[in-house]
Amino acid sequence: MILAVEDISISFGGLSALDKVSFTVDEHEITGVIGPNGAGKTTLFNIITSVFTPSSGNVYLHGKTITALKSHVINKMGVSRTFQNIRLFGTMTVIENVMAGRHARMDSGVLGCVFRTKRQRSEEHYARDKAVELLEFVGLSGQWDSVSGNLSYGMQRRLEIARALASEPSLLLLDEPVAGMNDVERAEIFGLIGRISRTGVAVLLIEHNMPLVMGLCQKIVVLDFGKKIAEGTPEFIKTHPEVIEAYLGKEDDEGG
Amino acid sequence: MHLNPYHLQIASFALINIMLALGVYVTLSTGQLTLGSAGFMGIGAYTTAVLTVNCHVPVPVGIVAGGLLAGVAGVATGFPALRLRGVYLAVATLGLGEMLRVVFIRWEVLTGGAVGFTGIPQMGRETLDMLNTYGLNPQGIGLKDNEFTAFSVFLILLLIAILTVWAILRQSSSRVGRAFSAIECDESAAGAMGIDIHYYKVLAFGEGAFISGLAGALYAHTASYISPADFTYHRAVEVLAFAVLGGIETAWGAVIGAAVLTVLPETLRFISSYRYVVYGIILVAAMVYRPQGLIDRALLRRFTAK
Amino acid sequence: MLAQQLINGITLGGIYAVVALGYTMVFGVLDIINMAHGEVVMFGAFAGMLLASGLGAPLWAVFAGAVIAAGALGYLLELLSLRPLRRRRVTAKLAPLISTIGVSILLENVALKLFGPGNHPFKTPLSDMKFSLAGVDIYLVQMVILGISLMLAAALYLWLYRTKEGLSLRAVAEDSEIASILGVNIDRAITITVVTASMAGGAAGVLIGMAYSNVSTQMGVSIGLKGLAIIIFGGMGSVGGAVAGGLILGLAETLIAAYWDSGYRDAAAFFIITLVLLVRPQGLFGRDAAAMRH
Repeated sequence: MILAVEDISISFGGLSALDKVSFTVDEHEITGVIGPNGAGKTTLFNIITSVFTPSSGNVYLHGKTITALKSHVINKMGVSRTFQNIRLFGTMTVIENVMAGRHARMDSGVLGCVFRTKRQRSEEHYARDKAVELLEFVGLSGQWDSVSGNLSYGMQRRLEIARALASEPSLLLLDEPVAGMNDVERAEIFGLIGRISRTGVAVLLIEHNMPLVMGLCQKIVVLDFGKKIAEGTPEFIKTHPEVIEAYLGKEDDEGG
Repeated sequence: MHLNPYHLQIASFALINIMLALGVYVTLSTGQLTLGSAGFMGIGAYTTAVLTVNCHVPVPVGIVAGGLLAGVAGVATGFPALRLRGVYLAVATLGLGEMLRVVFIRWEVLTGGAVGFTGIPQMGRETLDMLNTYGLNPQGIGLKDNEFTAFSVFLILLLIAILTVWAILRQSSSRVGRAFSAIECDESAAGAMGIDIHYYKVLAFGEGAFISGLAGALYAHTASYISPADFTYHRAVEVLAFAVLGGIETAWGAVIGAAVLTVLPETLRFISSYRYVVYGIILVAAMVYRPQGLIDRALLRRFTAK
Repeated sequence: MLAQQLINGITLGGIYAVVALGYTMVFGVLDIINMAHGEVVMFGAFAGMLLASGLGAPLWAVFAGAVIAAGALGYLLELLSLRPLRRRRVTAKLAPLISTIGVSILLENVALKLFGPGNHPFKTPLSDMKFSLAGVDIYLVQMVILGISLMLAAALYLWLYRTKEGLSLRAVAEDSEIASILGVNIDRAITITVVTASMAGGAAGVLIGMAYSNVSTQMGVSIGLKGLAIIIFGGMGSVGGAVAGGLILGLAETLIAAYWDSGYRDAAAFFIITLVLLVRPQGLFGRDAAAMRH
């Protein structure tokens, strides 16, 4: 077990966004968090990465609590993420984005950077090689010096994943990585997520369209109106009465 | 050999303005707009004035001390500034700058009050005196004393400005610089990518104030007279105009913007008395037509690609 | 002595409140700090000065002239420095701030060229009339200033909260996209806001001229800073906060000058800004911290 979320609750303006949600993520597995829009999925990610502090409950990484630690500390401890509405560093180039993502694994300070110490140069060199490697891994070859804001939508999704991987996370959080993609693009990204998982990185991914991720995930957590209504293997989830109820009629308008 | 001391003086002030614009640029490169740069400039200027005149400290030591004290003040401002964004930060730093100006006026024992601080050692004359004690004389290379002093001030400023640009450029193309621009682009994404937002924002404030303070100290030893009127809100806006016209995406923008806006009013005499009117129009026009400034990253890339 | 100072302070505070209302209206609707508002106030003061000292015009004409001049200036400000940013979809968060800073130094220096440096006397027929009440000297001017400031504040409040026009402005403030879908003409709403705020500024300019008996081209910067201090203190976009903040700053300045050191009077505003931003960044009457995330 790499991540354990325990009794997390949070509310905004009196409205409960998450209510006593608990689940675990196992190493080497792809876990899906599914639920209709507004079920609290992104809020959950924001609590794990400490954008929000839960009003009660705890988050444990490798058995140690990380609740309310600073975001950058949590990243350094091995949790990295992407965002639902892609949030690249738009004015920076593709390779700069990935190298910025590696921040926590580097340590040169102002003096090292200005005076280009031997250590800084080899660190920078290594970071660049790593970034190139990652860009090839996600399928973004040869566009390293374009401004990231100018990339196509699909390429931006890939770049965001490469940036998240740059910090060498043990847990990767993907927030709707295939939103707005066609079947071909989606299959490619799912293939990529599978490859990421095989390198030993645990993946937790959000998707609101349940059938899509059934084949990809080893485990699924279902949220509805801020409450966990089921957790288990895809087979278990498929036949779970509450899940079926929550999803009845919803696939028509969200099937895209 | 013949040098025009007047032209050298304009070039010297252009170099000081470049330093000031760089100070604003560094802080702005993390997305923090400060209107207090004139205050930090004043801290640097008064520090070295007091140290060199009252305490007889050597000029270079005074200049470094001025920059460092301004940097410390910048770090001290940077912490509370973390709680403020955008316009709130701009207004707060504006208030800080004006408060510092009131301090410069009221702390008469040290600063000379509204009348100003006179008799600050001039870098050029100091260099000349030093040469004379070694029995050297600028006439040996065909320069009059006033030509030599103006020229040596210019050279010292040029050297320091080049060093500053060099340091900033090196910083921007490395881990620290990437952290700065990541924060400027998207703060919470930067945090999620492992960047310690608080540390780098305070650092940027400290660096910006240090450079502004250094520029202020150099100004004191160039003009040899300073007064609170040199460190007003208008000065801060003027420096902002330099940085914004040149472009706030790269350090080159600050350099070009300050150079153009300092030299232009001197060459076009009729502009000179309307310089602030021109600055005003430039700020508005720049925001409307080229919000990223004259020099942006795309332009630089086109140059470096060739 | 204290009663005298309190009256002076409240008079000054009334003026500050009107200045702050101009800032708060524009911020409330456009989410922009109009850094040129202080200079609009200054131009209003000069228009009033020309009419009052130059032509000896009656008080109502002085106000009318100043309000018209400042309103026209506000219209130009919106047309030349704010609307183009919306048209060209400039998204840089600081663009309107920097653009209005540009207008402010432009206006200040145009005024310097037009009117010249130094103080220009501002004479009204009321200037020397005063009466005594329980040993306290009260100038008629002070009564006029206080009356007009309170009237202006009340009128703006009623207009914003009790009229259809005000409702559409507040709709724009809430969410301009939805307001536009609902049929509110955004450009018109914004123009009305900026012009009205500027007209109030013009009136404030005359009040300042009457209070100090002179005007200068540099008054815009200092009065602008005070207006900013007040809206930060009172909470951005809050009408009540602007009035309360104005009165508090007016009293604080008067008392500092009377009982401590007049040299520190102008520092009161900056001190307040710094203190409030450190302790309660959303201001005394501010809605919540979310307001400052813009």
